[in-house]
Amino acid sequence: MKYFRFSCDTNILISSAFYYRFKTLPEIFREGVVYDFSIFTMRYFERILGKKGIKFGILPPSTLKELNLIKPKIILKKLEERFSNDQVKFRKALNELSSLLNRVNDNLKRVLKIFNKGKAYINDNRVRKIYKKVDNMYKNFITQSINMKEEIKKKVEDHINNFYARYFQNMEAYQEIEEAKETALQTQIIRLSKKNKTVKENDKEILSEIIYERKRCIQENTHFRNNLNFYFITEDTHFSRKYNKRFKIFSTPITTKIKELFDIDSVRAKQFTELIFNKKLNLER
Amino acid sequence: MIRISESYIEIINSFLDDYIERRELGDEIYTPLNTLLNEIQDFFSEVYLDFNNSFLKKSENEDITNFLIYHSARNLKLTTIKVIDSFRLAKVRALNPKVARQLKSFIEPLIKFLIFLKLMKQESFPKIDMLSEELEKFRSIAKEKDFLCNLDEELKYDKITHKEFRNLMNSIREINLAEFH
Repeated sequence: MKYFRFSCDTNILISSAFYYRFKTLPEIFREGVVYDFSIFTMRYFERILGKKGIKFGILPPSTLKELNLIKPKIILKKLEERFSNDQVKFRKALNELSSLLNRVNDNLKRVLKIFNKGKAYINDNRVRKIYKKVDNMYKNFITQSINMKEEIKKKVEDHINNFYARYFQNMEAYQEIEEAKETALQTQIIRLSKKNKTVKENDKEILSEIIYERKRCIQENTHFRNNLNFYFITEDTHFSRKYNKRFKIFSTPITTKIKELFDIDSVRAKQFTELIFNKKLNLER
Repeated sequence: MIRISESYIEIINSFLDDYIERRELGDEIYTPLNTLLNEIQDFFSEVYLDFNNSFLKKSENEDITNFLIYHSARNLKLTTIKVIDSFRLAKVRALNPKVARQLKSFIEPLIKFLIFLKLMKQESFPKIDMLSEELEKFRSIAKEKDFLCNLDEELKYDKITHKEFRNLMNSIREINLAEFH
């Protein structure tokens, strides 16, 4: 079994700190909430650190920097949502949220112990070089995404005309299904052309830093050469696969490309929990 | 306006030295500690009023900064209350002056943190990172010296029930974190 290391994005890190009580694994899989998968993962590696003294996590500096801003943003969102118009409750809410932030910070402090702090700063030339490659990859995907729907339509039409026309009476319905299926397969790319789904600079920087950290890991541990799985836990669809309930399929073109170009396995919190649960991770140093 | 000065540290330290030398706790320490607590509470009220008046009226970053100052001032207040309570408890139980030794190495960070917060409140430069880092340093030292309130104490001081806290934590988990990223 290959060695492994993992990293995660800021949301996974923060969600792993929002808990009041721990849930059992069956509960976690039944409810399927990202928060619980993240909490389970971090708790698991806290135990591993305690037992074996090994840190399998690596956090890039950009993720750490984002933490300070996102935590109070979440708190303010809650404050605004529930109490901004009520003077009496406003003060109580402030104190409750302040306690909550203390609790989350304490939890985070513990969680951060399972990670080695990365050394990849985005201003470093080596990381900038990687960034250019990442940026190009997304630019290509964005170009693809612009005419993708028309291309899918044409591709499906050709496919049907060539092979299946004679077997199906209801061609339109069949074409609709095939188009929807192909669209589902390409969701990761198609979303990039939507206004609010663009890949932020920061996300590309974080991916570049993670790619650099993987390289550094291999340089520092020669036995990792051709023998390391580097996981990036993230719920962002422009990194990790997107599930389509209707056809029960995953859209993976970007995830596959990231693996192919940079040898990074972008996984969702649930996928990573399954790897732990199914004992698919090599816990040797 | 910064009223408190570092001379406070000297006054409190002189009492603490005396207790450590005599190996017995006295009552003199409560006067400067209560004055300090009043000063912190005044600052806390001032911070609250400012935040209450400006919330949602300025930029998001200013709201975050003001919340962090409020949050830090609240931590400072709760920690000072715990310092005073720790002295009371040690006195009632006639314990040795361990608490005096602990406070001797903590009083300076405590007062300096108050001065830091007052300065931060007056300054206009971006300070979210600095506030977060200094608060964590303060909490780490307070924890090391046994003056940091645990969750139970924190909730008790502010009359928050565990049920309310649990519901709040659960409701936060309904927020889609992707929108903040």
